[in-house]
Amino acid sequence: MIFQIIVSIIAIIFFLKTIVQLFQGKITRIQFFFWSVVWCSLTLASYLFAEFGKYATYIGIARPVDVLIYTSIIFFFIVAYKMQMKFEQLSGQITQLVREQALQHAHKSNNSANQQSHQQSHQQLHQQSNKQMSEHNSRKKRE
Amino acid sequence: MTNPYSMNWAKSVWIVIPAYNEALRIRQVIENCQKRGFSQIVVTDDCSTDDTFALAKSTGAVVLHHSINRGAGAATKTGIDYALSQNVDYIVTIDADGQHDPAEIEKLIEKAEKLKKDVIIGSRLIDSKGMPLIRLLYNRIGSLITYLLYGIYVRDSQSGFKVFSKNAAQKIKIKFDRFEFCSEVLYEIRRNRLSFCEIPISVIYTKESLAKGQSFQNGVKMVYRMIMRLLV
Repeated sequence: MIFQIIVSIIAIIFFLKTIVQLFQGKITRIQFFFWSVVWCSLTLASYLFAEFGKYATYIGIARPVDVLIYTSIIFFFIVAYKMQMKFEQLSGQITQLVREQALQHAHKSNNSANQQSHQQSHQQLHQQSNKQMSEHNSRKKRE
Repeated sequence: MTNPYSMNWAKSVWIVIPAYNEALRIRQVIENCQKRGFSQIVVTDDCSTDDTFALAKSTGAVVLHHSINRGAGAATKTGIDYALSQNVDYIVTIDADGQHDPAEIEKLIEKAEKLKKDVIIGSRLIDSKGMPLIRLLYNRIGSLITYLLYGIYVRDSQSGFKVFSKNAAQKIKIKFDRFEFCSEVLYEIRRNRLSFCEIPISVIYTKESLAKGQSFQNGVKMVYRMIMRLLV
């Protein structure tokens, strides 16, 4: 009975934590549902532990506790796989973001450099034409 | 730059240099490229904590800055993406630690032209004289693992000195952020059925570049990530 009580307390603590996370907006409703099912199943499994004995022999596992251990291992592999996938996805997104930022910045500075040189050449042309005009005017005046 | 002084053909070449904390060498590497007549150089500063960015910028090269360190693969891809946005015929990637001789860039591009290859890999292992034994071992293991995982064998799978035609650079998708991108490039060559060949290059090892190089621990991490990428 002690085993069942310990498992129930752990499951309740994590279930409450899941509720808090839902209210804090850290997890979605689907995630809340998934984790609620996990904690409830865990509690239920601890109480139906003896029942596992019957099914364990069907699938070729001698002891009911082994069923739990194997199921947990498979479960943790699935979680690790999911986490790895998420990590890869996030890492790729961060790289993409950093890359786009670097490229945008480079193109911006290229454009501004081009604009500056364009403005400079425009100003030079303007100054030259002004100079020519003033020379032309002064020549006319002299004439 | 479109035409280095010793080349008798006019091709637009961009040099891509990924750099992380290479303040001691980056300026010299860029200037050596410029001396050879290559002025279209793009350096990707991968969030260095030293003066790499400022020193690279002072040479007149285009310098891209990663606001977060993302690794050699990510930095190389950023540089290639920039080069592809410009007028380019060939993209050359070289390491920022000065281990590659920019004098050999022309040789590699000329081979790509002459042999009509999409990718030229500068191989340090065809003539591996001067390479420390441990490096030689790591590179051989790297090539073997690349062959086992991706089914393509080259002598120097981890070489950072490569020439890509524009077509190849557009087709090759680099997803790995760290050093394992070198193996990924080979996988992409195979997947896209690109033509390639290995050309021997010389290698210049210094104390700093050796200290910065790949460790056994990094190698194990690389293999782990390569296997995970195959599975996930």
